[in-house]
Amino acid sequence: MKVLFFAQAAQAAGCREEDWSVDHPMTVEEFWQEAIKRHPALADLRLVCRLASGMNYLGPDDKLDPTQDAAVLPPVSGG
Amino acid sequence: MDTLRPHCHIELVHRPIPLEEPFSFNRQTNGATVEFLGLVRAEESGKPIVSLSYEAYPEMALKEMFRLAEEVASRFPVNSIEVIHRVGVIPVGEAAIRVRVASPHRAEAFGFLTVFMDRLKEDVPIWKVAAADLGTAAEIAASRLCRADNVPHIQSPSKETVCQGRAGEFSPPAFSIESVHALIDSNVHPHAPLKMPVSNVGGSVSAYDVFATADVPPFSQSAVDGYAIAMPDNSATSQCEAMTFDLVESIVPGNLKQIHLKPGQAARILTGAIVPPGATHVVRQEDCKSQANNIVFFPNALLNSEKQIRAKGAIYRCGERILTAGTEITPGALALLISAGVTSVSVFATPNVTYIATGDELLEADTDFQPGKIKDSNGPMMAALLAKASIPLQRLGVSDDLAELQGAIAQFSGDLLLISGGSGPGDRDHSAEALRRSGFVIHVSRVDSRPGRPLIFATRGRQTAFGLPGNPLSQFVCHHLFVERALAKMIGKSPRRFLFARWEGEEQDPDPTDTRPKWTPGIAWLDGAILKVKPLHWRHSGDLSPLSVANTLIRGTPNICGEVQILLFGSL
Repeated sequence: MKVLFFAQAAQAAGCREEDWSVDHPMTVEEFWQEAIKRHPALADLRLVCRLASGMNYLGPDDKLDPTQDAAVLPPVSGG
Repeated sequence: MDTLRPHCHIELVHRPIPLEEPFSFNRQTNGATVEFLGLVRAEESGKPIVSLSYEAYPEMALKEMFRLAEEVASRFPVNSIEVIHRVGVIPVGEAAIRVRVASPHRAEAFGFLTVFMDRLKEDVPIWKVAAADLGTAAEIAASRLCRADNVPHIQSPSKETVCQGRAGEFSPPAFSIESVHALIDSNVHPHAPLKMPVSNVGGSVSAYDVFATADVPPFSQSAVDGYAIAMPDNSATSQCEAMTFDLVESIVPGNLKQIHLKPGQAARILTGAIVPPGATHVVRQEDCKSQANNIVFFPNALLNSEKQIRAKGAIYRCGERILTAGTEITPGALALLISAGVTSVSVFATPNVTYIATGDELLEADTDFQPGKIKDSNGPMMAALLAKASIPLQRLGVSDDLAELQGAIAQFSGDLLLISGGSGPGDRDHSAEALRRSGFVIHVSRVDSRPGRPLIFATRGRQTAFGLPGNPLSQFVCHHLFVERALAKMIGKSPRRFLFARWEGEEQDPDPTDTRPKWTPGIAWLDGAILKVKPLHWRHSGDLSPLSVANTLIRGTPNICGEVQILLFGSL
């Protein structure tokens, strides 16, 4: 599963893109556990970041599709 | 229903959005067009800037903008929608976004724009990632050159889109030193002013303008030791004829004798004493001869004699402004305030600072070494650094236990909390979590700086906290780069500025594998009018010997002009 990090999340992770070997749909909780294990600084951002899978925002009970790109999205500030 | 869908043109671009560009829409069916331009202002978070950088998740941003356009158009039926959002570096005055809509009536067009912009700011994955002030303008120019526009276009077959760039190509460093400075400047607030007796305000910063409450000088006073004389009206002053006056009195400073000189009389007067009524001149003692009860001088002694009298209110009149708000009260300013009759001044209060040292391995300075333990050099070092600004430091020690640290933070009621150690990502690094659990908002947890990378900056209401690296050199650097800046903001002072100095060290080849800005302790000195700097040799970040003699921190390596930025903290 390709995992994309943006803005402060990229800063915290120290990278913009990673490949995770995932073979099952991940829960949001599982995703964060893995992300924070890999990049502890992401723990700071967990409460404010939203997740997307396949370019759709995820709700708390949604799962991440391992065949789609996942993304960690800090609060947006466009416009 | 599909035929009623609005015509959508949505674009992410990496180039300026032209301010005048034709908008194509059907003029037969549309009675109104409305355009919204979002421009980059010259200020961000209260700080002057020259540009903003935007980063996007381009594919998803386009998808979300389409989704939003359709969603909002279902409430406000408009016929044509055009959205262009720019990403990358956008200079002040240029547009970050342009939205244009055409609709049969104006109400739908206005409604659409308002709601669309609100929703865009909630859901479309685009981020302002950095503001650049004047200091980083050169970096921006460089970064612009690096980001050529030769990136693939992404064309969605069903809708009109143009997209330049791919995920991850737009991001300048978010937590550069300058970004952290901007965050500190906008999240730390000056303290409420405190009225203090004037004799105690030296070194503080005046919160308001200060006005003289008396004339300076308060009476006409003599500027020299000499004689006050009352010149007769009709005295013929031939340059070669000596003049003689009757010496009737002697006046010293503080003397309040009521005397009035009559023409032809003189009084002995000392510097600072009241010039008596009736006196027309003061003559320097070295220009006179005293003979019994007379003084004698030649008329040329009267040349420039007006300089020997300081007239009442000649320097400041009562009510005149003598100090502007935000001025540091230097020893000279203190003397001025007192001389102008000021008895109390409103200054920014001294912050209440608490320092928590985390770690089970730390020993106080006055205890004996124990196996596996080290002396806590940071606490006393920080206390000494703050003492330079006359700020007392309250020190606490806690173990590496999260609950204990959280308890200490929860009890903190001061202005600035410094937590030493535990700021990094390690298993026993709890500062961030403890701060968060205690209600602090964490703005920064990592900085592009070496040393000093694990740094936490957090606020809770008007309280500020820093998580500092435990390494003494890192802590020293973080103090000068960040803590001092926050303190300056609290007490109304200007932050310390970076200076440029001529590099006198050995030639250095830049290390392309490490782009993190590096700080090296150094010695700066003035060679004539030229500021020069030399780095101090240090073995690793645990080596404190260079710190003991350094007066400056050097930023990175010299530029092509052989100059390097420094932060001067000691005397030259």
